[in-house]
Amino acid sequence: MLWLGAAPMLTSLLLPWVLLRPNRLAAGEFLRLPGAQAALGALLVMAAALSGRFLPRAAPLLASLSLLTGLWWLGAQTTTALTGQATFARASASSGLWLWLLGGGILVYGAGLAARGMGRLQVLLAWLWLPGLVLLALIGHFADWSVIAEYRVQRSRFGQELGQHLKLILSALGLAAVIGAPLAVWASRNARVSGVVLGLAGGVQTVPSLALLGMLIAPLSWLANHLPALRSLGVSGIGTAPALSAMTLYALLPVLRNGVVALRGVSPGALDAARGMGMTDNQRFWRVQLPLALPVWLSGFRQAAVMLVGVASVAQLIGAGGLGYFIFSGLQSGAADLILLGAVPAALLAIGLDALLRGLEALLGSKLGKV
Amino acid sequence: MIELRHLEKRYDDPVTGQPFYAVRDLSLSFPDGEITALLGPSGCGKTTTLRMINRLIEPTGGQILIGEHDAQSLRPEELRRQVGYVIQQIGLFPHLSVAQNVATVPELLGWPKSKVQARVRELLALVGLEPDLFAGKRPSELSGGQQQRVGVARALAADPPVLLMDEPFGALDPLARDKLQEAFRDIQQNLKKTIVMVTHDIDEALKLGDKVALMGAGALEQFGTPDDLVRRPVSEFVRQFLGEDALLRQLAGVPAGRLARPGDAHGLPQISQDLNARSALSVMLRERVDTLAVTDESGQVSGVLSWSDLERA
Repeated sequence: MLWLGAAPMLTSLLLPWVLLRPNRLAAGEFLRLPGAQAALGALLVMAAALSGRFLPRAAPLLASLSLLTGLWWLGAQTTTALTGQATFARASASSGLWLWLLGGGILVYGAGLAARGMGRLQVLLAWLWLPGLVLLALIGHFADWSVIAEYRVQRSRFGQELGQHLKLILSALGLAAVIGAPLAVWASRNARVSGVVLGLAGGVQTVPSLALLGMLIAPLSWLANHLPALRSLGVSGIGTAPALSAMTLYALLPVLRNGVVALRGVSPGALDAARGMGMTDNQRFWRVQLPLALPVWLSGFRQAAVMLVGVASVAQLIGAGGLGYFIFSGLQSGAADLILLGAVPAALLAIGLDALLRGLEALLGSKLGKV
Repeated sequence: MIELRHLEKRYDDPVTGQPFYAVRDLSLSFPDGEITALLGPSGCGKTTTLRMINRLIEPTGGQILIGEHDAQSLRPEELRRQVGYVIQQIGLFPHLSVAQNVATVPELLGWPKSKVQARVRELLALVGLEPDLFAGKRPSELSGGQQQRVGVARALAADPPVLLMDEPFGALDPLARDKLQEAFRDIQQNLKKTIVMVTHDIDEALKLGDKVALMGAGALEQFGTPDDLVRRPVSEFVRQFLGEDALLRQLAGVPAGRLARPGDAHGLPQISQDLNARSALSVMLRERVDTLAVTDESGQVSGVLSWSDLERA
């Protein structure tokens, strides 16, 4: 596992790390890591990979340091490249850096897995890179990286679109919960209902997101034209309304499916005991069935949330905004940095939401006991 | 007293409409303060009968009287809160602590908190679980035997006069089962609950049952003391179900100490008073003697046990 990460990292040292261009769209020249630093990096990675075999307790720390070194170089090398250049010049990360980060990710993940058996300190060390990254970002270490340069230009817009992205996801999740939860409860008790409901939700899921967004434009603009009340609420064929509708429909499947599975999976012994103790149907549902189903059900919300980060990125195409704005503007103008300004936060958002909800699941699981 | 009168549970086959009787014309009364074992092969309707008593299954005919009341005259939930229930797969709530599990019925009945807490501690102590040690634990942290002790404590929580048990010791390994059966017998000796216990384990029925009701194919085959069934089976079915070694099974449930009487133990092979009578018989056969010396906890000879004592067991 450790070598699986170390191999691309070592390879990356042979590749260019920084692309220096006179402005954001022009062609440029590739810069490599200085030999001394590359040698240092090679040593660090080798040490991390070998420690897995000879000194496992050091592996988490070394893996974290390896990943952090790459991030440090990202800032340092872009700054070096821009020294003495004109204002419009841009220094962006090139293949070497991305490969290093990919390998570093694998290295840290592998070390983290191995650290589980070694104690809390080792697990924390495997995550050391994260506070390191935050610290580097806060002290402005990446200021000269082209994506950050792009961010400086777009700052106010970025906050707005990130907010819109989050708003779309959370609203869709909320709607899916409000619609999906009672449906899931109903479906869990009735085989015919669950067949219909899960079939429909599964059908929606097979429609590609872009197609679904497009298909909702016509009915929603019809509704907005014929029902002034809806129009005054802001419903129209393009924009937030169709995006939110499509995202809610998408989120329904995981919410429903996990809900039905979770509710049906509750141990029949516990349910029979609840009935035998003299609980009413309502008491049995709220006191026994729901708490026991909750951890599994929550993982449906997690799957939905992660999926919605992706769907929300496409919502820009029908004018709903979100981080997709940067991705598609970047695509149109051929500005790779602008694409990254949308893509990287979207990816981080998905990973962050996943981690957050996984944590919540684990917490609920330990609080509520295993089902 | 629980009395079943012409109890019937019929299921109609959804396709052919053919009726199937899980329980048919069952009349039986369970004596107060005693354990009645509902014994029988799989599918004989013993669990169905038990579950009809607290209306987890609604009968299609007949009547159930609990004390003076017709079971049908109460709301099912009310009825169930007055009848303790211990189920086969233990059925503890995994998301609640041991104390919360035991407190289930008192809380449903709206007891004040302090009373519930005191009761929980009292019950845990009763079933042999140190309250300070176990109250806060999760069921998953307990062994199978400890879990079933909690199950029994939970069923006794609101001090119901009647306890229904569906194969309560079935999921345990033999060692834990024996221990728990002993503990349960001691508890019952003080509590004198009216207990209906479903089991397919003949040894368990003969050991724990004051009375045994043997069922076959939805109907009662024989009702009586374990001795009645073993020595005076009313039908070929009863004889076959209990098997030719029924007497040995019964002996297995009796400690040798209980059968011992004073006598001259000089030079006899010794056995402990806790050894069961079947094992004592095995020792007699092995040692080629017809009398054994029985020793108490301290190893002192307390009496003798002879072949004729076993015959009278």
